[in-house]
Amino acid sequence: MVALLKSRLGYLSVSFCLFLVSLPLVSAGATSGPRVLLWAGSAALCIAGLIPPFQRLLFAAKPDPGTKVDGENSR
Amino acid sequence: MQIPVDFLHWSLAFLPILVLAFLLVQLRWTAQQAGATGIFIAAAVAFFVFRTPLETLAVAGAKGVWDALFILLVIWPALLLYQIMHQSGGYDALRQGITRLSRNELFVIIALGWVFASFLQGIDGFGTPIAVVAPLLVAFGVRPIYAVAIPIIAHIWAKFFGTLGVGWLATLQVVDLDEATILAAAYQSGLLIIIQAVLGGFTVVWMYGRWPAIRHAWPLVLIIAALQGVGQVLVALVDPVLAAFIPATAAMLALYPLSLWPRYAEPATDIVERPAMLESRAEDDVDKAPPMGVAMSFFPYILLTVLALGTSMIEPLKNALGSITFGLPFPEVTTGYGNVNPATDAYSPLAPLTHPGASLIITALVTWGIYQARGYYNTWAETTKTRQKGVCWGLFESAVPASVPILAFLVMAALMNHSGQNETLALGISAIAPAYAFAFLSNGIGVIGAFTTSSSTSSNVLFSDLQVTLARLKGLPEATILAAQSAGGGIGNAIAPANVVMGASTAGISGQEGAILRKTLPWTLAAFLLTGAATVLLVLLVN
Repeated sequence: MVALLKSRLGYLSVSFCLFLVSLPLVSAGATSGPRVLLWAGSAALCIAGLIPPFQRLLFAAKPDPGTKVDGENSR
Repeated sequence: MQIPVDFLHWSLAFLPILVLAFLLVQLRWTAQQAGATGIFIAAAVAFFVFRTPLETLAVAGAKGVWDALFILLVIWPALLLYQIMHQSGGYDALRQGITRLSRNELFVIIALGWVFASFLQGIDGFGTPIAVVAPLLVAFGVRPIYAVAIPIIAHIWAKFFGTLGVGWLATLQVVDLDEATILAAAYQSGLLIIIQAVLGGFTVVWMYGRWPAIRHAWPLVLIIAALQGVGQVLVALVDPVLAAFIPATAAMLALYPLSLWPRYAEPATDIVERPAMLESRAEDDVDKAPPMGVAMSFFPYILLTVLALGTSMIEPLKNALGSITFGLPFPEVTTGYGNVNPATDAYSPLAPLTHPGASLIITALVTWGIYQARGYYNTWAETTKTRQKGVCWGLFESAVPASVPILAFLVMAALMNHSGQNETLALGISAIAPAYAFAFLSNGIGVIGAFTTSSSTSSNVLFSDLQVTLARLKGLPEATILAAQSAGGGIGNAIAPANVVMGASTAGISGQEGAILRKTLPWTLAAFLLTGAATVLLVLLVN
């Protein structure tokens, strides 16, 4: 879990997948499917949104002192 | 029960936008972190202040994810094309070809960043001009921050009538106006949008080289702005659907004779300070011969233009491809204040084959196949003595970080919309502003709509009917206020987070969205103020 949160691509991939998964779950749960799908979709949406700020608060990377923050000299 | 419009509710409705801007610009959080935080601020305000039940929040959130898919369908193919070009040496070949267009660096930047981006907006949309042009400018040696800011600002004038009139047609769907008012709205929208064309052109030139660049390029800017801005007004009177496409194409065609003008054919020696340009780019790659010729490097952009034009302008093909649509069902949802979103069997149906993403996917796959068959990837890897990461991995590595904030922004926008926060924002501005002050501020409502939804069309769909109603109540000309809304919807795109994220990802500077916003925010404020003043002037003239 900690390793996942320390990998930028890792935690963003999880967040991305959860956002996408929430869509059919909420749609089905709110219309024709069992209500549990609606709450499962809502939970997926919440967790997807929580991951990026949660990661910042726990594992915020310190900026490289040699790098200009606005990136005008990058690339 | 009426939605409350008082200072407390207005301030709290504005809170998600304020927090988002503060996190991005001031605290320099990444777009992923700021956007996701914005979801929870908007949800908390919706739940505790705007009496929005959890089910409504869930449905709104899911609709936001669906809305984001329309943008992701451009980002993923655009980034695929970027990886294909980048890993095959295509951008280096392209840079050499672009340099041959003119020896004048500023002319090339105007041609690519302003004229070509606007042309793409005339036929495509959903951020395609930014996604395509930003990496081209980087390849030419423009600093990535500027490479994103330039096309974002420069193509704004083509937003409302662009994508073959999508914004215009969507606006007509949500307002009930007579023929004369519709014609007046088209004409006055065109007039207000001239500000965006002129201001956009001069801003691009200013970014490149400050006052010396302005002194050098002012005739060029005025000619192109006149072709685009005045051309749009004239065509809007005949057929608004083509009002952006025809002048954007005329400006593209005008580049050739303009490139022969000695003033723009030779380098501008008097422009010393060039903050938008990288100093080392040309020297770095001077000994690296790209594996393909210029024609082959331009191939994907020619193919993209042909496909986009074909699927947009050949009516039988457009109708056949557009007949395939799908969307997900959602139930009716309400809030405690009686804000109702009706049930639908297919919410905002997507036509995948006429979506700009389809042209981009075909372009990318065909280009990928040709470049692979010709061995460009291996040759370029040997030339640069680097081990390429592979197109698929490169796509995954860049597209996922770009997708999360777009999903977050659109979810936040849907939450604000379903809970009535957007409506409170617009009604609040109207409630405190006398008629002329409201006329001045009315384009600001469009700006807010575009900022929250990252779409000028969505801004117009959200607010056009409300703006017309408020105009009637305040005794203002409906066409003028609708024109101000349409102009504001375009202006807000310059700071729309999804656009900024898209540009940052294709320019290879994901995470530096705040720095891009600091470049586009002053333009947005200036355009808002000038449009406000012009709206008041139009009201005075019409009355």
